[in-house]
Amino acid sequence: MIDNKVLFVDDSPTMRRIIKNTLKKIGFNDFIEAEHGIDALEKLEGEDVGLILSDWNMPEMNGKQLVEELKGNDKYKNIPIIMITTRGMKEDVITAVKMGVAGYVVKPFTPEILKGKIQKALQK
Amino acid sequence: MSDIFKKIEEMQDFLRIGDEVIPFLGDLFKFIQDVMPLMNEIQSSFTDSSSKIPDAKDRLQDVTDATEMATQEIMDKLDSINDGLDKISESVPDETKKEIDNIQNDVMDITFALQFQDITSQKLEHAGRIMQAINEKFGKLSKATEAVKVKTKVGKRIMAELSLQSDPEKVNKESTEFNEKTKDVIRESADFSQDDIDALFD
Repeated sequence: MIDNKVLFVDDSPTMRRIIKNTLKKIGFNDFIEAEHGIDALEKLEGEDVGLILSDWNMPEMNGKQLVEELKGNDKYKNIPIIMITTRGMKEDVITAVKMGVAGYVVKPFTPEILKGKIQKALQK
Repeated sequence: MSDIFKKIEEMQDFLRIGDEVIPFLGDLFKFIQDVMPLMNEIQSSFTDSSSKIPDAKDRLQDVTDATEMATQEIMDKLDSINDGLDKISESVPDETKKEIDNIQNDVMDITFALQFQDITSQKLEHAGRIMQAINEKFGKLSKATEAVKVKTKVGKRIMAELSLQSDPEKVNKESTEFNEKTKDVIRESADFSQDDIDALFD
């Protein structure tokens, strides 16, 4: 069992479920789900989250805007963030790296890829 | 005297400019004359197609909703299989546990393959946004064409000529062809169920 509480943000219920199943398989047992950036920020309030997984394309507030919000906030700036997205263009990845994300996974992905990225992000 | 010469020179300059401008205006008029029928055709096609765009967008959303629901149902079943295997795994020898573990890994692979649903939904959403953007562009073009047709003398004159040349049969045929091409293949009726269909065979 891994103690870190994980917040995952994706507007697709299918993807949230896939991520949740993967996290369970890896050993995480404490999750918060959010549908978009604003929902994520609201749900983060008062929570001790150790890892955030976020989609990029979402309504209301997208993943890029969410990362900007989090990195600009002293309370959340050190939480490792992994982007999980269909945006696989080099410039997208560079943008994410510049924003300070700890990992970047392009959909579709395998459980092993996600597991590897999570382990790497938590070691940093 | 010098004033008279100056006036003559000015007049010569004016005529020289006129010599250059008149052929240009002729070309411009010819260009407008060629483009107007095309713009007119685009405008009539736009009237047909723009009414279909909201429906087409709704259809794309329907596909997303339907696949989302089906995917959730598949995932429910897969979760149920996994839970069942977990229970069986508690009371079987290690050899069988290994087999169960392999099956659970296969179940996990199926779950991951369902990512296609999210990816396809995003592609459909993108296609919908492209359709909407094209529709808006054509809307602007249509308004501009209408303005040229109604507000300019050249436009009015060309439209008058066009209406003399227009072939109503051809226009009707094109409209019918468009409607035929964009006709919905799924024909649903809320007030005619499978039971109603079966009753016709009794």
